[in-house]
Parts: sequence; C-alpha cells; structure tokens
Amino acid sequence: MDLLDNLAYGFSVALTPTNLFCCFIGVFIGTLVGVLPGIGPVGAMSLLLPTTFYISPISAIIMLSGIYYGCMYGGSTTSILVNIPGEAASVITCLDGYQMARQGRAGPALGIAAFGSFIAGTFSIAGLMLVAPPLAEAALKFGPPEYFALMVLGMTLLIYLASGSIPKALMMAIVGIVLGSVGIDATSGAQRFTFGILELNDGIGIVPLVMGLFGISEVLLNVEQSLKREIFETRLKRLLPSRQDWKESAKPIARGSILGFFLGILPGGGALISSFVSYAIEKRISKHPEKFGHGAIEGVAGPESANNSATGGAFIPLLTLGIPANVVMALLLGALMIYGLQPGPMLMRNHPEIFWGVVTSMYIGNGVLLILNLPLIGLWVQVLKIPYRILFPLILIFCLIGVYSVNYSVTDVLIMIVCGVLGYLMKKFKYEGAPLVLAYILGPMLEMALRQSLTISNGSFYIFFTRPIAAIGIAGALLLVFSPLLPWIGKKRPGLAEAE
Amino acid sequence: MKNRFFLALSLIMILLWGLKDLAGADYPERPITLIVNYSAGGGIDMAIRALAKRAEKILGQPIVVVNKAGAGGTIGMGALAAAKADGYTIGAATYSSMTMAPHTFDVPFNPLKDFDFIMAHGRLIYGPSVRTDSPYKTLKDLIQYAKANPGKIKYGVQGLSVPNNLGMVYLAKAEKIKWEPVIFKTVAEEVAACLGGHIDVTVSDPPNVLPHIRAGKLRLLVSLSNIRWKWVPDVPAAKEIGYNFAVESWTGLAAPKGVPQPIMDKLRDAFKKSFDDPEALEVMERISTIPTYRTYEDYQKIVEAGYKENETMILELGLHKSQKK
Repeated sequence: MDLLDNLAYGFSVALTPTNLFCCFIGVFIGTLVGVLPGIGPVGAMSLLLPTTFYISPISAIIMLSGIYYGCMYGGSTTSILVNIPGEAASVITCLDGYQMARQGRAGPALGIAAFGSFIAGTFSIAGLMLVAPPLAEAALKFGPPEYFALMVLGMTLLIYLASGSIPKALMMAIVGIVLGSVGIDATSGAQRFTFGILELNDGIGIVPLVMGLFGISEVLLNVEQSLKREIFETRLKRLLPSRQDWKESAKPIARGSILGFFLGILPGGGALISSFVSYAIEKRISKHPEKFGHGAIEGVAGPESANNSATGGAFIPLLTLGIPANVVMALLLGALMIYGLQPGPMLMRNHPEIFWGVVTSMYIGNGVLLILNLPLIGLWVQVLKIPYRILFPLILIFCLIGVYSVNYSVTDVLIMIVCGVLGYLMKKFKYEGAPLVLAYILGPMLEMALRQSLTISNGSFYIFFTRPIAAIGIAGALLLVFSPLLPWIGKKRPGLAEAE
Repeated sequence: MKNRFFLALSLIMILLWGLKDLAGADYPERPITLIVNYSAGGGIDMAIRALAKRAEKILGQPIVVVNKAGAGGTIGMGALAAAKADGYTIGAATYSSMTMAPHTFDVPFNPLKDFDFIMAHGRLIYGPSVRTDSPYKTLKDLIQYAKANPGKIKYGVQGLSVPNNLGMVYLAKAEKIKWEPVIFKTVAEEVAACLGGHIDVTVSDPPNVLPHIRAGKLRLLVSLSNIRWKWVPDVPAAKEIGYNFAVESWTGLAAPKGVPQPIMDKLRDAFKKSFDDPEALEVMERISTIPTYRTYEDYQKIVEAGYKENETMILELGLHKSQKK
C-alpha cells in the first residue's frame, strides 16, 4: 500500500528525537500563546521564524506548524474561564464556554474543547493525508463570484448568532461592517474613516477589536459588580465531561470537524469563520436553541472542533499548490523558501520528507496536546478561585502587553481600550458582540469579492446566477432568509419572546 | 543608603551618556536598533535580518530588529525619520513606500529630504503570467486578443498604484489597448484566481509564480523590469522587445538625516561587507529577491527619479491624493 509506506516513512521522519522535541516545543509554545490573550499564532511564529534558521528545515516546519495548531487548543482556555478569547478563532467559544464556567462547569467545557479539538484535529490530518491533491484542485474552482455567494450565506447566518433582539443584532452587524471598512480601500486607494491617522490605513486589527469587545469589557463589567460575587460559586464536581455531555457533543464535534476542514481549505476562510458557522449551524438545528448563550455544551464543542479542523485544511493549498490560505500559512511559505524548498505542486514530489514528516508530526502533536491539556484543566479551573480584585488587574495587564507586543503599536492599545468601553456599554444595554465581529470579518471580504466579480463580468450581476457554485450559495442564503416565514406560526425564534 | 547609591549610579550613567555623543570615533558603543517597515517573516524582513546578522559581527554590537509594519511600509519609515540621528537607529528604506505611497496619501516623512541612505541591497521585478492551457503563447497573442476585444482581458494585481499595475498600464499605453485590473488583497489569492481560470493574467513578482511556472501550470509572458527573470531565461524583458519602460522596486537601508559623517561611513562600510557575504546573498536568492547592490548615492538617485516618474503616472491614473475628496 502506497499510503502505508508513505505514512511509515513520515513517522520515521517525525519520530527522530530532534523532530519529536521540536514538535513538543512547538505545541507547547502554541498552547502558551493560545492561552495568553493578544499574542496569536502569527505574532509568535513571526518572532520565532528567524531563530529556526539554526535547525533543519523539516524540524523548523514541524515546530512552526505545532505552534499553529497548538494555539487553537490553548485559545479556548481563557475564553471559557474569563470570557477573553486567547486568539481570534476562539471568540465564539466565549458565548457558551464562559456561561458554562459561571455555572461551575468550567471543567467539562475545557474538557470537551480539548477532546473536540483532538478529534477534529485528527480528522483533518487524515483528510489532509488522503484527499489533499484533488481537494486543492477543487478549491481553485472558487473564484470571486463563489466567494461572494459564500460570504452572503455567511452574513445570513449572523441571525443565528443573536440570542436576543434581532433589530439590535442587525444594528451591531452594521457597526461591524463600518468598522470593517476602515482603512485604505484596495480597489480605489481611497482612505475610509481613517481621520488622517496613518495607523488606521490598514484598518482596525481583529486582535484589539475582539479583546476589547469581549475581554476588557468583561473586566469593566465585573469591576461594577465585584462585591456581589467575589468568587465563582463553583461546585467543581467534575473536571471532565459527563456521559450526557458527550452525548450532546458528539454530533457537533463531527459536524464541526467536517465543516472546519472544508472551510479551512478555502483561501481566506479558515479557522475564524468556520467557528462562527459551526456555532450558527448548531444553534439552528438544536432542539433547544434557547440554551445557546446560556451555557450549551454544543456551543463549545462545535466551534472548537471546527477551528482545529480548519488548521489541517489550511495546510492543503500550501503543501499541494504553494498557495497560503491565511497569514499563518504565508509565514510557513516564507519559512519553506528560506530553507531553499520551493513550495508548490512540486514540493510533494521533490521533498516527500516535508509533506509526510509534517503530516505525521501533526498526529503526534495532537496526541501530545491532549496529554498536555487534560491535566492542566484542573489547574486552569483553580484560576477561577483567584479573587477578582487580583485576577482582573492581571488580565488587564496581559491584554495590554499582548496587544502592544504584536506590532509595538500604541494605536492598537488605544483601539482595544475604546472597543473595551464600547463592549461594556453594549453589554449594559444588551447589544451582542458576536454579530458585530462576524460582520466585521465578512464585510470587507464580501465587498472585495463583489467588486472583483463585477470587474470580471463587466458589471453584470448574472455572474452570480450563471455559475453553479455561486448560484447554490445565493439560493441557500435566500432559503435561510425566508425559511422563518414557513414555520412562522409553529416555531418562534428562541429568545424573541422575551425580547418583545 | 541604597537609594543614594542608585541615584549616584544613574547620574554617572547620564554623564557617560552625554560624553559618548562627543566621540563619534568609538561608534558603536551600544546596540543598534533597526526598524523594518514590513512584518517579521516576510521577504523584506528576512533579507534585512540576514544582512544585520553579518553586520553586527563587523560593527561589534548587536543589531536589534524591530518590525513596525503597516500602511505600505510608511509607518516604519515615519518612525525612522523621527528617530534621533545618532546612528543608533537605522531602518529599512523601501522604494514603493518612498516613491508611490507619498503620492496617494499623506505620509509622516519626506522621502527626498529625511533620510541618509546606507545602500540598496535588493530589487524586486515583475511580470505577467498566464495559464499554460490558455491560448496566449506569447505576449503578442495576448496583445492581439486585447486589441480585438477591448476590456475583455482581466489581470490581477494587488492595488492600482503598485508597480505591477503601473507596468500593465505602460504596456497598454504603448500598444493602445484596454484591459481591466481586478484587485486582490494578497498575491496568493490572485495567483489562485488565475490558476482557477477566473482571471486571465496574474501580474506578480517571481516568488509567488515561480513554483507554478516550474510545475508547468503558468507561463511568464514578459519581464516588465529592466532585467529578465533569471529563472525563466528565455522570456525577454520589455525593453529588449521595443518598449521603453520598466517597473522595478528596491529595498535598501537608511538612517535619519543628519547622522555624523564618520558614523555613516562606518555603517555603509559594514553593510557593504555584509552584502558581500555569501551567506546573506544565499538567503536573498532563496526568497527570490534579486540581490543587487547600489551605493547610497545611486539609491538616492533611483528614489528621486522614481518619485517623479511615479507621480506623473499616479496623476494620470487619477489616484493622486490631490485628486481625491
């Protein structure tokens, strides 16, 4: 069997002591970086890239990849414990993960995030191994019109992210679109909403935005109420998910794994969007959608699986076509080049040790991560016992340092603080952050795809209907928008009743 | 007691600090900061780090690389222009940040007056590629089709006022044809769109298309720069086949204006030597930057000429900052 031979070869590469060590260091740093708010995989990898020149290319790539997927594991920890996303793809985990922690179920939340990540990670590596080349070719079928349709579909999903008032969610989405349009418009070169501030030319960074909206605002909110509940009323009965938890999470993990894998392959898609989409889907098909936003374990299991699965998917276009699907992959591409390995269609043939070595090291890395993270759960949960008057100033300091360290930019720090105040006001007046973040991410991509498509079609909108994949996407979006009309009498949107 | 000791110590330090500036001959006496105006891990960053690694051995002090990315490299160059001109802060000086960006938006530095250049060490070259299964075997085929079908050819670029697009505009002007730019946020997306058949042409620098050219998926039609792509030696440069334009981009190093002459001499000398180091050259080769040395005087001239030339072109395209609002 060809595959088994390759796999054995891969393990022979990945299991050498040096590579094993690099894999371990990578996932360890990744976990750490994921846990620390602010500094994400991009920052960590770009800082470490120059130091890898002293080790062999394969060891370096194994280590750098480890940082990337390790980060997805660690990112959920702070989301669940203190409502601060450790990195951008864990934003959505805040919604239910933090609620679970408040109900004394931090252990199961962390546990299911770790297991879900492991299962999804392993699934996506298997996918990467088995179907990489044909899938990469298929991903090329996605041109601007297909992306546009996909983004439209994504935008309609934001309705499901809202657990309260729909008008408020829509308002937040519009704020998100406005925030997303800040910066130089790539098409015309016009500066939008920059007010002459040079640092805003590249737009508002996602890291300061989500850390402000979710993290800083939480600190502010708790300063107000700290006297009322000094410590979580933690009945830390269990540290691991129960049988019931597993039953509820099994399907979301499966769906998240598949979804994340496919969205990860598409350039620009990736971990972040897949976590949002997974959440929306779980809520949409759930029998008890009213629980979402109030500590539903599915809301943790699905998105956390999706963002891990997406990391595996993202490797496909890089390793088979030499096309980086996101910034992290672009960094890896740079790393490959500095070692004199030309990424692209020839990589698999000319340097099988890279492809198979990295893939098998990811199996090992995922195992290491699970072993590393499970015992840590007990430790993390103890964090909740730290009194707020000590915990929150610490969080604030970590956030400030984390955001500053990414680009040595004071502007980023200011953006985070402003977003923190905004997020605080939003929480006070029951406006939700998730629709804002989704619109902020999708808005600019949607605009770009629309303008590209219309340039290609000489201004004709038919392009969205004559191309099959695009047409399916648009039809799906329309269906979603009008579907409430059909069961309108029977099934009201959950949460709507209270809002009225 | 302890407090007084520290007070005395810090006073001594301050005194020493003051004295040190008088003696330019002992430069460098402490670490040098090097501001890179693009993010860590990118091509520009990696080439400069390779140079810095060698230069710090020559200068005998560590060189600390700090990345200040954003706004097309202008944020980092603004920080460089504002730094103290004592030779302890130097930085990357990239051609497009100095000759294109200032025409399209306000930048916090004057590219022609605020810097003392150290050298230029690399150049970036450009060229349009098409899929190998497309009907365009040569540049002529493409131009003929564009002539017969105005506006039908779509090419991908990463903005309008970037060298890639300017090259295509020059070409269209020379041939009196019309083709349309489709703008992508990253080169990766642009190349993927071309491979997938969504656009006809991708205009890129070598690193992003070479793998596909080697794999037989893309075909380079012409080099829009002064030189051929040495990896695709059969494809001519525009000037060789009768056009009178070339677009290129440069990366170099500079210090803020006003650094004492002896210090500048030392810096220029050290970085020239590090450029000649085979290891640094190899790194640049690998990331497909073309290592090309230019003296500080030559680089100054290149920047001045480019500043003027690009202003004319950007005005013509209607992208100049004075044409907005």
